[in-house]
Formats: sequence, structure tokens, C-alpha cells
Amino acid sequence: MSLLNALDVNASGLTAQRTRVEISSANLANSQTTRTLEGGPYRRQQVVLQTTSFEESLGRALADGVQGVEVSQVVQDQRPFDRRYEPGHPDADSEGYVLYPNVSAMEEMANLMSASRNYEANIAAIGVVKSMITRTMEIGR
Amino acid sequence: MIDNNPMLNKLENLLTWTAKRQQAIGANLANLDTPGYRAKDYSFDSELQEARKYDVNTTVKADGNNVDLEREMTEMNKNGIQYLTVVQFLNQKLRMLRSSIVDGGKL
Repeated sequence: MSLLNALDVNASGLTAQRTRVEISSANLANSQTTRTLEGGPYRRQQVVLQTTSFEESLGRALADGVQGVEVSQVVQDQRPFDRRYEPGHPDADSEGYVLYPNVSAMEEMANLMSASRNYEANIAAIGVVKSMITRTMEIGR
Repeated sequence: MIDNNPMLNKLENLLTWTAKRQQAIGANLANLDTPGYRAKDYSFDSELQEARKYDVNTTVKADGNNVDLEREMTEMNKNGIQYLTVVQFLNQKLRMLRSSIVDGGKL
């Protein structure tokens, strides 16, 4: 039933947007972290989205090949770290500079807003599909 | 007579295509942020015999994605209302058929 596929597609959108929110939150939480397991300051994470074909992922023969979305990978932002002069900091180098994460609070907030807006759009779509399915059940009643 | 009622068939087709359209719009919304994704939609011919898939002609953003959130939300709501309208029509038609069967036998 194509309406149920529509639900799956929008659910994949919800998952993708939620992952974006999670990653942005992690970036914000670690915006001042100078020590990580790998050593050095925290590096900003970034989500890469790609389309999935539901024909492939669910093995269903859909003539129109509706495309959902999925997180293909989470990559590290390779932009340089923020270098601040803080000679008293235990992680300061010989010149007194400390490397801070390459996280910009402004950028993360913009990302969070975009992700939550898009999450809502998918929720709205699910609402419409639900009402369509409910009405379908009422045919002939 | 009920089997090949042209109006019932048309309404049924319209219902199927509207559901298909919802699927396409839903996919566009799921891919709001997917780089390189092009929005798709369906159009129907006036006889409601076939649905034709087409690429939505909106401005392509820098990442190659052209999903327009406002357009998709508007189309989705229009499409949803159309679906409910068709179901209403279908119910009305079936009610008429039923009443002609039930009440017709009482004479």
C-alpha cells in the first residue's frame, strides 16, 4: 500500500533530522573541550545525508522508486582549530596558545533550527498520511 | 453494472494517484537537506488514465537540492484535501448504489 510507504519515507526523514540535532548538540556541548580520547581538542562533527531507494532497502517492487533519506556518514570538519592566547591553561603550548574546537555556536544554532523545522515538516506529512489512511477505512461505511 | 461503473473507476484512479502524489511529496520533504536531490511530483491527464512523473521546476540551491519547503507543504495540504474530497464522493456514490439496491427491493 503506497500510503504506508509514504509513512516509511517520512519516518526516514525524521531519523535523519534527529541525527542532525544530536550531532549539533554534541558539537555545542563540546564547543570548549580541549581534551579528547584521540588527543587534542574536539573536532566538529558533520552529518552527510543521501537518498535511499526504498526499492533497495525494503526489497519491494515499487515502480516509481520513491526515495527516502539516510545518514550516509558522520564526518569531521577539517577547518582549523580556534587558537587562543591563554598562558595559564594546562593545555597551553610553549607560546601560551590553547587550541579550542572549531565549533561555531552561531553555525550550530542555525543548523539546529533548520533541522527542527524540517523535522516538523516530516511530522506534518505523517499527519496528512494518517488522516488519509483513516478516511480510506471509512469508504463504503 | 457496479463493476464497470465509469464514475467509480475514475474516483478509484483519482484516489490511487492522489496517494501516489502524497508519497512523492513525502519523499521531497524527507530529502529537504539531501545534497543533489531534485524534487519530484506527479501530474494526471484529464481522463485520469495515467499519472506522469515530473521534476519540480524550483530554484536549485548551491548544494544541488531544489526542494522548496513552502511549495511542498502547500501541495501536500491541497493533495490531502483532494483525497478526503474523493473519499467523500466515493461514499456518496456507494450510498446511492446501496439505497437503490435496498430500497428498490421494497417496492
